[in-house]
Amino acid sequence: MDTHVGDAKPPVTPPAEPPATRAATAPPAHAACVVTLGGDPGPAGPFAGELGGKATRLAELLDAGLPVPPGFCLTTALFEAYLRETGIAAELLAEPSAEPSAGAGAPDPRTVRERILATRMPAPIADVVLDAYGRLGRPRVAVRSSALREDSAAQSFAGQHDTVLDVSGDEEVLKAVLTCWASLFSDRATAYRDTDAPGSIAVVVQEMVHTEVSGVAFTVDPVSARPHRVVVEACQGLGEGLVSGRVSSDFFVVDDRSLDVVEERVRYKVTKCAPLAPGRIGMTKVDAAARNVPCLTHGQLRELAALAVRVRELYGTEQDIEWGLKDGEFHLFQARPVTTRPAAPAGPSGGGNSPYVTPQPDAVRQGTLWSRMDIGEIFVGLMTPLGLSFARYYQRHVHTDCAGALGVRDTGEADLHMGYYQGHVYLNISYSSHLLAQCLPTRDQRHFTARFVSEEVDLAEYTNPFGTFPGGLPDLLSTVHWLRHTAREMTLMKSRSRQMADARLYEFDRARRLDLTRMSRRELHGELERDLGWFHDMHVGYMPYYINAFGFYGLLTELCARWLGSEGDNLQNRVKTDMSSLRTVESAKEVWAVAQAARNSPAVLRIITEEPLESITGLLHEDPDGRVFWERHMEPFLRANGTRGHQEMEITHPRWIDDPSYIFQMIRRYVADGFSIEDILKRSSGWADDSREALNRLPLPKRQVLETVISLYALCSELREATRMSMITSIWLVRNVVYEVGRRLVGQGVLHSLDEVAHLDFEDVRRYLAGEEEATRVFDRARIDSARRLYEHNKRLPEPPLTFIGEHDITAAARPVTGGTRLEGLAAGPGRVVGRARIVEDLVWQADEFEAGEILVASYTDASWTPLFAIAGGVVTDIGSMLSHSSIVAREFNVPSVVNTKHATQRINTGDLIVVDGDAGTVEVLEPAGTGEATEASEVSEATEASEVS
Amino acid sequence: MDILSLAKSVAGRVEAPLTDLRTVTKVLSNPRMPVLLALSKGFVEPVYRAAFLASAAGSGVLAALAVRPCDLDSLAERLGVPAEDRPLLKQWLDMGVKLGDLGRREGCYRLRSLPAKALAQGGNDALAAALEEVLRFHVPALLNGPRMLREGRRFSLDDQDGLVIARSTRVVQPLVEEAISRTLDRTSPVRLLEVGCGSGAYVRYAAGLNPRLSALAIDLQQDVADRAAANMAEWGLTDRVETRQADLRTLDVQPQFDLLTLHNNIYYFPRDERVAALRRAHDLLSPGGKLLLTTSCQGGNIGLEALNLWFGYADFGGPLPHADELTDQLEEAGFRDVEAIRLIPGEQFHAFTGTAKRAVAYA
Repeated sequence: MDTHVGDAKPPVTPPAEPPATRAATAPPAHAACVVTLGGDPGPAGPFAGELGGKATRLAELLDAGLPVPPGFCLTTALFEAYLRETGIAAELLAEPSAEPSAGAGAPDPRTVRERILATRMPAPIADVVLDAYGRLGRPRVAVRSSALREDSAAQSFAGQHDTVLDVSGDEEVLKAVLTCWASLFSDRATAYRDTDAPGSIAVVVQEMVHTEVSGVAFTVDPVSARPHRVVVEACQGLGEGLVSGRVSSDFFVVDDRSLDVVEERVRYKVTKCAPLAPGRIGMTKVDAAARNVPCLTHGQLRELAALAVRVRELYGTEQDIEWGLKDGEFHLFQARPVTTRPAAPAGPSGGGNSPYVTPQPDAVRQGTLWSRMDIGEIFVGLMTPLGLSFARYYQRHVHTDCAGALGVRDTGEADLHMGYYQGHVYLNISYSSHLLAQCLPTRDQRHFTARFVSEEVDLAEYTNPFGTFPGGLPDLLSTVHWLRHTAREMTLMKSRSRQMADARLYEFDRARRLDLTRMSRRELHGELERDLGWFHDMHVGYMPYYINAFGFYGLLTELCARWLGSEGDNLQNRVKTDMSSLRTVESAKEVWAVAQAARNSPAVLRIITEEPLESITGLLHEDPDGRVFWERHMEPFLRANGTRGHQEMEITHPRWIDDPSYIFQMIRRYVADGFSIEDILKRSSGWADDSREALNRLPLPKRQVLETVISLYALCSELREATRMSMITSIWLVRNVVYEVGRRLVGQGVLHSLDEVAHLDFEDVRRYLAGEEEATRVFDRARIDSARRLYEHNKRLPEPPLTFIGEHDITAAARPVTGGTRLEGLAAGPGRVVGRARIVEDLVWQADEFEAGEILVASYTDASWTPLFAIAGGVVTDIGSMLSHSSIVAREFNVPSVVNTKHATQRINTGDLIVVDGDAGTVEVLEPAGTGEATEASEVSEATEASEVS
Repeated sequence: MDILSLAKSVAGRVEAPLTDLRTVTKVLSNPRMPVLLALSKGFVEPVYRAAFLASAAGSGVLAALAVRPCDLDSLAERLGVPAEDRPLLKQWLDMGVKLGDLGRREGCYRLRSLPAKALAQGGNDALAAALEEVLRFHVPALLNGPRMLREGRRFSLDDQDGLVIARSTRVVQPLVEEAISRTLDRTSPVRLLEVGCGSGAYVRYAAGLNPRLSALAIDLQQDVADRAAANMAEWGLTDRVETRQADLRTLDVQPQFDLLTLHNNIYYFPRDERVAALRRAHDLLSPGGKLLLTTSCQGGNIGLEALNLWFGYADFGGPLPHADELTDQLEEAGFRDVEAIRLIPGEQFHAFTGTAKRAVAYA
């Protein structure tokens, strides 16, 4: 037997003799292998075998009088008896010391696992299990593995063995026990085992508590390590949702001396993990009323913090506690010493108060202007470790070439262009404007810098720490270079956009035919490098359109202000260029067309509207009409739009083609409303009368100049949209390879689930594919875990500012005022509208809730939201600018829109009656939710919306 | 002494004093004599020389002498000839002296004739190999044709020395390279599959034109593939080019290729199997991917006809294609926009290109 000194803690009262001695003697009676936790005869009494980490701790907590659901433990001795009596032990002993990797006689863990799952429990063993189950009162139970090495201080083995939730009945319980036993031989348990001997395993059978609220509590802040902070994360439903990272959670900090709540961050919670039917745990929606309110009251938080402190006192070390709340009562499910506490978070993922990735002189570090506004919606928002490391790849290998594509001769140092702050990507505005001074239009840095001004920063005091670009010869050379480059760009821009569009279809078709699962590691490496090469080209090709649209728009604003004065206010917004070919708008039309096709086929319509989202694709393929529909409508739609998603630089987000749920949601929405999208699009054609007149009053030369600028702006916007799809598709290609690696890692047991791909470092993925190193060496478990913690930490911090100078201390930043009903932002789409607000946090889960005419309130939007714009009465976002896709599309759909309100999603509630003034840039709450009769309408078919947790 | 040698010795002695005028007169008055002389000067000697030069080039003798004149011992050592066989080597070398291709001064052999000097240059290795190919493959086909037919014998792949073929096909290297440079995208990342990669020279050429190209290079013959892999390592291309022994017809890889090339090897496929092979090539391309096939076609010079004859007598492969026939076969295999380009007017060397079918796009 292995020695697990320090791993498996002995029970509170140590047994009379060490387990090892007993295991060597005659087999114990089976009854002695079942221990009632916290009961009599409890672990204090005589029993055989070991309890394993989890059961030991639960017993200790129960003995200390802490609220743990009742249960019993099947010790390792029972498992060993099972192995002995079924003959599996003999098979294992056949080659006990052989290396599993050496092949030959060593039993393959897979075979052992299958053997266990297929071998019924001998009656004497089953009897004692069911006996104990009977004594428990035969309730619904959770059956969990309690491994010997689990919960060791050195390595967190959390989640490497199985748990079966919500089972009841003799058969099911026995089956669940076998599943847990077999998991000792699971891939993920073997991948990280230090030695080859699997050891043994105990199992806990515990009453299942269907908690209404669950979460974790840390007796010490696991990331920032500030003292006296009990950190609580809470989500709706079962705690499994939180562990998998699939639901959003509230965040609280309680002072462990006064038990006062010192920090509280409530997030909009759309989904939860809950029993869908007896024995079926899955994802479902949170009731509308519970979405925007804290999961726990202050009184409950005090109670929970007090429990946490008691657990800490019991063990004398900091603890990480899993808890749940049901009917006002707290239950503890697990307590572990806090194992991972990243010392000083560094690198792109977080850490420090400066976004710089390399050390900089004080003057530069403290004087740099940073912004994440207008750096493309693809970067906006908090990113996962994978997303950030991919952004870092972009920075190292692509960004300076993008600058070169703008005609910048000296493209500078890659490390200075971008920075990272609390999981967000920032553009170094100081450095960029310093370099962009080489281009004539942005010779005066203010032209570039001014775009990033917001009331958060005062530019009066700002001077660029990089200074002006050196004059003399370098300046002259740069100007000549820019002129030549720009002349070339003007002649090439149309043909390049066509080439990019062709190349996109080619790469898309190619990728569609490849079965990555059948490619060798070397081939995958080739694929990734190819995709990255293409990713480079598409970004570099796209950038000029992006910046030119930006530039012409700026020029237009300036000319309007200068020549038209007050009449020119917002003329640029009212300039209705014919952008009906804008791809983003087109995508809404195409969703509409697909919805029409679905409506024309009863079988298809039934599947899409009545079946659970995740089964629709499969069912359509099984149905003859469905297949026709898929081939004739879905496939072409996906070819044109499928690589869209939200925040596309974030590789973890599935694209429409990876998960068409959102498309089905939009089809449901469009079909249900039965309105014509043409009605909306019709409104957007032609000039707004008054602005046309204002333009007409100008002298001819000025009018011509303005019209030219308008048409150039329109052209660049159009080309930008077309080429943006190529860029987006290139990211999808990279994503495909990364997720194939992820699937292989899950298969090898290196990752617990595909969700963990989010915590990988992109460079590790490249390194793994490029070489022949063992996956477990490349993907270090401790690093994955600490990346996850840092991400969770960043997630619960307030959004960092869009723009700031120098360094930022999020903990010192002022909290947003919670009162008040008026918000100011940027006027992005003209017009004034009154309507009920709907906060949309999760596009996929909420798309079908959105009622036509409601006002869409979101933290930010991007191209993937376009289909919702088509039916929205107005659009309000926390962040964004005049040139965000959301603004462009809002103007196109003639939807009044205010962006960059900063706090709209926190200050406005779903159901509030609000007025959006898209000319003045203000949003006001007229009547809070509940006073009217608006809100509850949407929670119609929650049961059918549920989707299974894998 | 056979009659040919007699005639030769007579011819060699014309300047010698006419000691036995009677004999000479008698011999010369033989009506067959002019034919014999013509045979000797016009046919036999060139054959001997060609054989000697091919062997001298292939064995490395020419290369050694190109550096500096060598004596027998150093040559023997270089060629790995055991001491007891040195007299035989000397005999062989002296034959070269007699044929005029080598010279000998102060016990050292040196290059003498123009062809010997030319073939000794590294850049002309392909020509040397072509000469070797002629002697080792074309000549046996001519020599043994009727006998093979009578005995029901055929050439097999083993009768071909893959390395020699790989070297010799490089005679058309400039043409193939021209075809590659016309077809290959220079800037995008390209995934290339080269079928029948030979020495790997064309993959190297393509990799040089497009620094982002990566390739899988396959050859049917293990020794050829091994050599190509060694070449890739020498050229520093191992990271970008994977080389292995494989048959196009059974190669199991995903349709990942943007370009598939078949240089000078379509005739290794029997005529009636070409469509199937090309279809397989088509299916390994990504939709819209390109095929480049180079080959000599029928109707060319006498050397090509001899090659054609050899393949006619082989139990694998088939005749050189007719340009029209191959165009049709490419179309039948699913290729679109098939084109056949003659790279040099009047020559039967063609480059065929075609595009794999695009995905079906509705609406």
